[in-house]
Amino acid sequence: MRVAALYDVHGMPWALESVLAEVDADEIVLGGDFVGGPYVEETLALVDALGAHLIRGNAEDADPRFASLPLTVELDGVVYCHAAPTANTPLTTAATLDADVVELFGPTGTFVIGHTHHQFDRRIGALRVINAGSVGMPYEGEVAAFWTVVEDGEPAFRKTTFDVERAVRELRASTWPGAEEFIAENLLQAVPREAAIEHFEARR
Amino acid sequence: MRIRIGRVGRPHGIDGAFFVEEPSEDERWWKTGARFLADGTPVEVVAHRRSSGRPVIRVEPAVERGAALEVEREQLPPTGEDEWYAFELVGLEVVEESGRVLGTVKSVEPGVANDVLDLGGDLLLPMVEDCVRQVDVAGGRIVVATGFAD
Repeated sequence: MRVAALYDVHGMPWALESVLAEVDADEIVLGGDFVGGPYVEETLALVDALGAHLIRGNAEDADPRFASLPLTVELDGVVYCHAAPTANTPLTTAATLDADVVELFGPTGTFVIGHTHHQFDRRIGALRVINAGSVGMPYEGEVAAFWTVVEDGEPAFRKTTFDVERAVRELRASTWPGAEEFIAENLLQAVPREAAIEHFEARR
Repeated sequence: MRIRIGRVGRPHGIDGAFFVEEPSEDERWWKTGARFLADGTPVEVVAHRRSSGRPVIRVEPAVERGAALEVEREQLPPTGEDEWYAFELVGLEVVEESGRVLGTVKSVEPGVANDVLDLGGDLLLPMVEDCVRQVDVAGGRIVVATGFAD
């Protein structure tokens, strides 16, 4: 089974559209935090059309439209969750200590997470924790959409470019109050991966 | 009284078929042979399939994108026990289990995960078991768990 893991879209339909044009999978998992960004309703229209498995990220917690979403979805023996199986807020990065990762996920199993917006594949004994990356707000040092295909439990990290100029243009024409800040931080430049890891590790 | 069952969405293919937006969960409307109204004009489904989990249909006569798909109230099958149509909830009083009156249902908004009761004034309540404890259409009220409105 091929599963497309699309996490942390954060209201960026331009990025999601480009990814969907490349998706060739049996199932799609929207791994939470598809809202919490500029163009939420447009993003939801795309999400609604997908027939995807939806997971509740922390950005969906306060919205009654998503109250019925589960924290986890299991496909093909792989557990998909936003940040951890029992909560959608813990921070796990490429640099988190092995012991802390095991404490959060347990000693065995394969988990696909997002939340910290950078791709990684951690193997700790019989435990494997994969971060699918972020479609709409990646911290990878490059402006693009990052996602993952999981086939028979094995991840293949993907990167998709999208029309950034169009996104900037339409965002600037929008009434979204955080548009300029979002553009400056996520579209005109990319947050370096190392800076994000340092930021999250300091908050663990 | 006419009840909305969907709206004509974007085309699918080149034969005049289209996605149904905000489709009714009642699949019988999305089968060949079904009859309903499109912006008030009687139409019949002449082809049906699904794509991306959503109904795709072609109707005759052809209709414009954005047209409202509706049926007469009398065409709807009766609801069973503990079942109701969304339109029947509009106007019902919403009361917490504590007895506090929260208001009346202005509309029922569909969501990608669950529907939401819109009570106006930014007060939205999720249509999930944890929140909605009792729906009494005949009695004109909905009882919800305490805490969701705070």
